Amino acid sequence: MDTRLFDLLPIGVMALDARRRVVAWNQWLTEHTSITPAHASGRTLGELFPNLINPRFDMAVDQALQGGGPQILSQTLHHYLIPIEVPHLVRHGLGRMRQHVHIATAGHGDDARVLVSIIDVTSSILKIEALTDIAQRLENDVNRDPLTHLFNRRFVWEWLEHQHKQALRYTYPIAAMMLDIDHFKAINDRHGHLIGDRVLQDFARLLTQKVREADIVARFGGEEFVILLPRCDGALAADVAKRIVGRTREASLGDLSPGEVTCSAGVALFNPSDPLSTSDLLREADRRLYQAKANGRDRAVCQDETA
Amino acid sequence: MRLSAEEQDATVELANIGISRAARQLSVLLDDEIRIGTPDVALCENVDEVVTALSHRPEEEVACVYQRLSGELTGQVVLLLAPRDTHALFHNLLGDGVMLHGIDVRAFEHEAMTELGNIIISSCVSAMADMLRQRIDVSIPRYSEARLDDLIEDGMGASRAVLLIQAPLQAAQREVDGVIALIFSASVAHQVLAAVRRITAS
Amino acid sequence: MVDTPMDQTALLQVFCAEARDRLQRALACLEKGPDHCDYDLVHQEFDSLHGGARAVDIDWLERDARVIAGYARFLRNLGPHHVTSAAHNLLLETVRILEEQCRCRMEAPTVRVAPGGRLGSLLESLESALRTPAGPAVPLTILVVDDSATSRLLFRAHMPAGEGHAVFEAQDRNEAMRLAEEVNPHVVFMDYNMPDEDGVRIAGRMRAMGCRAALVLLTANVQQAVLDDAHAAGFAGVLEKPVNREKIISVLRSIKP
Repeated sequence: MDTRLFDLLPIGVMALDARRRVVAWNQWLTEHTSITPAHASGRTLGELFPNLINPRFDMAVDQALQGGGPQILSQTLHHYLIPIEVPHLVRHGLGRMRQHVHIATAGHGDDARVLVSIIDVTSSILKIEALTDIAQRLENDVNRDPLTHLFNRRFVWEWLEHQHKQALRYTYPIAAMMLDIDHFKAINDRHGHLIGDRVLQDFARLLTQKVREADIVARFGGEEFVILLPRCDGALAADVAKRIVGRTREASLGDLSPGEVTCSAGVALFNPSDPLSTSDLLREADRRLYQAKANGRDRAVCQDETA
Repeated sequence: MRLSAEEQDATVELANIGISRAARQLSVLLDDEIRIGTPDVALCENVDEVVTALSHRPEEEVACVYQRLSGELTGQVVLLLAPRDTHALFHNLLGDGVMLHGIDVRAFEHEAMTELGNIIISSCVSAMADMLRQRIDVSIPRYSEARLDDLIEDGMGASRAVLLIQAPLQAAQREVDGVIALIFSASVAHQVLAAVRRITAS
Repeated sequence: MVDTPMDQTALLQVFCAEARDRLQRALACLEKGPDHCDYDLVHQEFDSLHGGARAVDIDWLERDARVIAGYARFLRNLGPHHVTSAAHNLLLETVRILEEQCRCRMEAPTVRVAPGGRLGSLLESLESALRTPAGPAVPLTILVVDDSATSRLLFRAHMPAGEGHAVFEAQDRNEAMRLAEEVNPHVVFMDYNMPDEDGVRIAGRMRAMGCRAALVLLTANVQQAVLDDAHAAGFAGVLEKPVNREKIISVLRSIKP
């Protein structure tokens, strides 16, 4: 290639001979490393950058020379090949230019040439990190539970206050369902907290799959969950509760065998003709959940079953 | 078409050399001993055979790295990565310090997996070139995600057959334990088998 | 050295009689076979022959005797029971033909003859064996243990030809153990991944049985951990698959059996 064209490339390009010595060094590299082509010529990367110890680069060059085709060194795994300081990026935690490296060969034996291209990908890393910030803000959303991404207790109360007024005005029922994973502490003790967390996550997913879009699924705390179903009568809510209990028993949550995780549920109904306060509604659902536990767990109690 | 005992033996040997080379490179990258098992080689003539051999579900989403071969051997090589294995490998590569969430992880993961796929494919291809004494040119690696059955369907092309190579792989000191699965398109499989026959007949 | 034509003729007669005796003694010794041949004696006979031929200016015999003496010394240095029949037969055949030629040519021993023919090529083989330092100077008995037929085939195909190495193959542990005892190899190339037991263990059994061969691990897996294990297990070298001629030659050189 015409050397002047080679110097116009917006990426770093060098060519090495079969013994890994630099035979070409473009303008980009000179600008970023302050090493002139004359100085680089005839030297290996190890000689030019004495602190550079990169066995993976050496192997990739070997592999390319031995007929393995082009090789890449990703910024994810290596960050960079040649140390190039980018001072104003230090505050982003990126003191050095991130590089995507591509290695290709031409020719054979002693005439072989290794073409190493270095592409600056620092800006895309910055973009990704900006997206990470947004994602993390979502994670920390005040209304969400960080583990399951369900709504949290605080949101349940806010939502109930609002819906309570609406339901009274437009006279529609609201079903409240309290659910609890049976013997969750024993699961945690036996399988560890990592599995415990995954059981919670899988259970949360199962709950969201069993309800309508307008319904609210929330983690109330620990292994306790709440589902609020506006415009839903007692029979339908009981049906939903029984299906959740049944599905939980059959499912493999957190990779545990089906049947190892069960849940109990209590369902209460807000009826505009005989209205309960929001706290009474949840208290009633909780009382029935307690009855389901007392009656042997793995079941739903949908009306008063006080013996 | 089935592999004869000689062809089976030769392709297993070929696969073993390629995967051992890859293991050596991975051991440098992971700074850990990589243990590999004896490869399993099968010539599959339809999607179901491949799916059964891989013990995945056909609708399962899999990640893959593919590279085109040209020169004396033409066709395509696909490296399959089961998502669970890749997550474990990825977190091991980056260490626990980098716990990322959501979208960004995928971008990094694709990049890292492309490099790993490139290592494995090019190790196998260079071993083949060495052993078969042929010149093989390899394109740059591409990453893709697809349903397993669609991916195999694409790999089969018109000739409706693929050479499937699988080998278990473990890192000694880390929780990396998976299966490498390489799918060679039928054109490559036939050329490899022809070269193997020439060797075994000599 | 020789002052008059008269002296030279007399010397030649004495030398020719002596040369015939030496050749016959060496031949008789060689005919006992590799296990009973005294290579030291063969070496001495040819060394003397070399000196004599130089004294009387028979340049063709001088060169041939020097090569044969050197080769006999190599076999002597190898030690008893380590000379392969191939290595032995190469020497035996050379000496036989030389002895035949001498009987004809002693009539006109100083006449120059063009080198070549069967004797020429035999001597070339001897010389090329001597030229190679430390390595395959002498034909070796080699045992290749690998369950893959392809791998054994490739090994055989890439084995340096024309040096008379004898290659034996074993595809499982039992065969390997049997051959290690029967052929008493100089070098054992051992595959690591063997079905009944790994190669390092099989090598351990061979050692326990008294096999003193140099062990070379035959493997595609050349990670540092594997190399360290092989070294710890007493392997003298590693031959990385896929094998080729250059790799085999360089391993054979490096291990100095």
